[in-house]
Amino acid sequence: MAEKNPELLDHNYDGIQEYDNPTPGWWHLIFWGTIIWSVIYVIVWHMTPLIPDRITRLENTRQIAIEKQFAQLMTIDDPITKVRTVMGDENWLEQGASVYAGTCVLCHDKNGQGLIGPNLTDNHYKNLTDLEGMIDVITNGAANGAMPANVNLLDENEIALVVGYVASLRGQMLEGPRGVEGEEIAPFPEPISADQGG
Amino acid sequence: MSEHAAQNEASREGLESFVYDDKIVRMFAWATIIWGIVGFLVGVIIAIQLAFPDAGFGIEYLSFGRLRPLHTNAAIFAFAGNGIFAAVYYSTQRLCKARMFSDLLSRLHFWGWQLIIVSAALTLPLGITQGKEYAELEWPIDLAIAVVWLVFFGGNFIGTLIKRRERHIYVALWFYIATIVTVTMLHVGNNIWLPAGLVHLIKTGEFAGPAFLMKSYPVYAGVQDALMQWWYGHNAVAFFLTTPFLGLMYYFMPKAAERPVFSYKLSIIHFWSLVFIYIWAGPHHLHYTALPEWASTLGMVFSVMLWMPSWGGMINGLLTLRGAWDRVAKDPILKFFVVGVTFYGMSTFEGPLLSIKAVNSLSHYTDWTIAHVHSGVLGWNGFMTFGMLYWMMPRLFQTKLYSTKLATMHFWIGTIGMVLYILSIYTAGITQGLMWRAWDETGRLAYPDFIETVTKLIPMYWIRVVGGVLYMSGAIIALYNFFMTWKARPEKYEETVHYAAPLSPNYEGDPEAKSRLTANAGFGHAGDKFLQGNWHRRWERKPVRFTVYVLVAVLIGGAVEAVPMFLVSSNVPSIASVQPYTPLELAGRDIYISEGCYNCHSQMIRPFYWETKRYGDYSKPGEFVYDRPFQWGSRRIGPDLHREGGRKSHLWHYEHFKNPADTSPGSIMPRYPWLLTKEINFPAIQGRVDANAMLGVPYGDMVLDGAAEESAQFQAAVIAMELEEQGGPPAAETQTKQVIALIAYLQRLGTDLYKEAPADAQANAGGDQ
Repeated sequence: MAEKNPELLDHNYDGIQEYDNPTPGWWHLIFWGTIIWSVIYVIVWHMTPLIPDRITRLENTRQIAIEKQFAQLMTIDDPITKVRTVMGDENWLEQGASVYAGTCVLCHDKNGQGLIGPNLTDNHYKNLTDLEGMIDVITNGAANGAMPANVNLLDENEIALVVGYVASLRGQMLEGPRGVEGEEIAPFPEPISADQGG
Repeated sequence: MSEHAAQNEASREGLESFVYDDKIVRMFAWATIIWGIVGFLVGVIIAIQLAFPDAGFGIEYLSFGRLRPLHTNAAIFAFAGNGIFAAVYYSTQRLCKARMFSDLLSRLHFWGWQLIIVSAALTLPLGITQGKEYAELEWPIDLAIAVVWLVFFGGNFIGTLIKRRERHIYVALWFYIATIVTVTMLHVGNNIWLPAGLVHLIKTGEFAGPAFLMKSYPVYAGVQDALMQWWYGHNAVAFFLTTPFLGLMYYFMPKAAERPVFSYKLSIIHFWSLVFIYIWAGPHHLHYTALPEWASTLGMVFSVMLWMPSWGGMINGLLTLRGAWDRVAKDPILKFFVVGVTFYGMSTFEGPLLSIKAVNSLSHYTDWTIAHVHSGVLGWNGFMTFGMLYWMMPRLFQTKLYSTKLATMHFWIGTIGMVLYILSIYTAGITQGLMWRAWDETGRLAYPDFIETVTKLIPMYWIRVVGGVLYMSGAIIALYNFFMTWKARPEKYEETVHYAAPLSPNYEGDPEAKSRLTANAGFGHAGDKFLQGNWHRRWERKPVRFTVYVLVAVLIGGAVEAVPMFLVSSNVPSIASVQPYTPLELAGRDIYISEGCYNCHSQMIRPFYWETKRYGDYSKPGEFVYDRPFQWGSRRIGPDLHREGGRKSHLWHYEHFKNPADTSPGSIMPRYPWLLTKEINFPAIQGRVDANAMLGVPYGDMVLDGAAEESAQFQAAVIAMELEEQGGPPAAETQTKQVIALIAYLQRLGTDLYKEAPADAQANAGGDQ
């Protein structure tokens, strides 16, 4: 057998034989290629200033996103004016709804009818009597943790968005599981609509 | 006739006679197929639970978090493990021309391992776990594993190598050596713990329940624990699910194909590059986490370099079939092997791909990883094992296989099942990954409500169930086929006597290495002699030295990554406001671990805009210094919890544990009614705090007799009161229940970052700098 096939080694293990074939050329090419690539990667990524580190990249993206999201809102200083501007603009309200969906929905349910937390669609409110109170409740929480604080989670613009959205739910009078809670409060101030000039 | 016998007698002069121990192989082979079916069944059950969460019936022992570790442990250590042992015991004896070193060690190994599996099947559903993936088994079982693996199995194996009658050790044996050495190193390295319950019992004489007696805390915390865990976890894949199966392939594939191995040179280069490089790759499981980026980069580049060493094995397997391809069409054994090796090639291409940071940022925490491991385990480990069993069973039972048709049917059902499983779960993984990161031109998340990204996957989860059932059905067909083969066995097994000469102390069979270069090539001659590989031939005659070389090769990578992580403090910058958990929170954390919450929830917010938007500030290394074990998780079936503290009311958590579907319609989290009724183990709390204090957690006065329990009682009463105020049940009903401890822990998570540092801690931190 060995004479017939010069490539066959004289190894024999329980009948298993081995050829003396060389390792394929493309195998070597890719293997050494990955090693060279690794060296280049380490040098470029860690030893030169070409690539900013991941925290810097995060901050850059955050800046871009905040610009995109709040460019107009950021020019308004007064928090109540900010909220009223949100209330008067469909696009801002949509953004408010998105914050609501990420944060509030778990307790106040999809349409604000209440679940673990109170109904937001009637005229009765707990822990607050006006928009300023609502900003405070959403920022710092209320009722000893029953309403959680969002100060570390949302920035002030996002709080304005969600306050505007929640305020816009008022008066829909959806049927909730918890009944009426809290006190009836005075109507919120009118929205500032976009064409009135915000 | 007698003349013939006399002639035989004469030719056997100077030879030793021996009989192979096939009984032990039969025992391991049965265990393989039976535990395999058990493992697949548990997999099917938890797959159904993800599509239909009430399939756990609100029974604690059937909840996903407890059964998932049982599934992974059964598939890896029971199914693949017994398969490895069957392969090793069958092939090693024949490759060494020797019976196993000790029949007693073989039996101790078999029964010891089965006992470990049974104890895993009992403790995991009881919630007794270390909370680290694939290293869940608690310390008494860890000790048993170390003894059974290293002493019974390792000792028996090395003993056989030493008394072998074959001069050189074949490549399959190299891979077995690497397996035994490295798995021992990984298992011991990742399981250095303080047995809290035992220490408490010895110190105080108080027995705080059997579950607490088995409780341990790892000596590593946070970032270091994560590094050690994935050094272990990744290399369990390497040295439990890869190297032994390559050894299996190198023996059983050429046997079944009756063809020589394609390339001896390739065997050498891919063996050494594989064992050296694999060990570095662990940190690719921790990309963009609080692990320092240099370690992450090492994990990535070594994973990429691992591509060709892995493919060397695939090439050597597939090209060994050259000249036998016509038989693949007829022979189910070769079919299993071809598909098995092909899946190995696909998984080991996908592995390096997933280790690239940018790809990993999409795939991590999604089902993509789940699809990847299943293509490895079902395709490579499963099909190689089935191929081996179909080849071996008729030989072990000394009869013909009952039905080749059924074997072919198993092959097709298994393949279809696998394809359904993998494709549906790939789709699920990529879908969810893209949904998580989607944010639109106005800077908001496209799917802010996590649940939206879950309900979308349910149809895929049902397809997975179908795939899993098919794969399991294939294994049941195999069991039937093996059973019928066994029934046709002879009344008494024939024990063939083999003859071989013992090895003489000296060996002079080496060909003289001659340089093929021209006379004036200088150093080139040495290089050419090296390339001819005769030096490796010498290593193959010295198994003990070979073992030492392997150990050196696998020690390097781990040492380079771990030593700086432990010694250089800038890798984990401390944060002064991060304080130890209160005793109640610590008890709650242990419930979190015990329930296996980490199987579905991560605690690691990566520094991506879309991730910080959804979960809050990215996680910092210094926030985990008191986390024993770390609970970063590897899959987000539910949302990340690192900044869960203070995000919801106690009442929400209470109602959510009672029935998640009430508070989060569409949630696939199971119900946890037992948390509302089971008592907190208050007497064990002092032991938990003391153990952590012994590991260096600054608990101060809390270690005084009873102080921790008193503190826990007080905090539990406060939380129960707050829960009542929020509209929950009366405090008197809840204040001793487990749910209160768990809420205490959840409300603490990730909040220290925003606190004022205590005055003394500030002073300490200042002193460090």
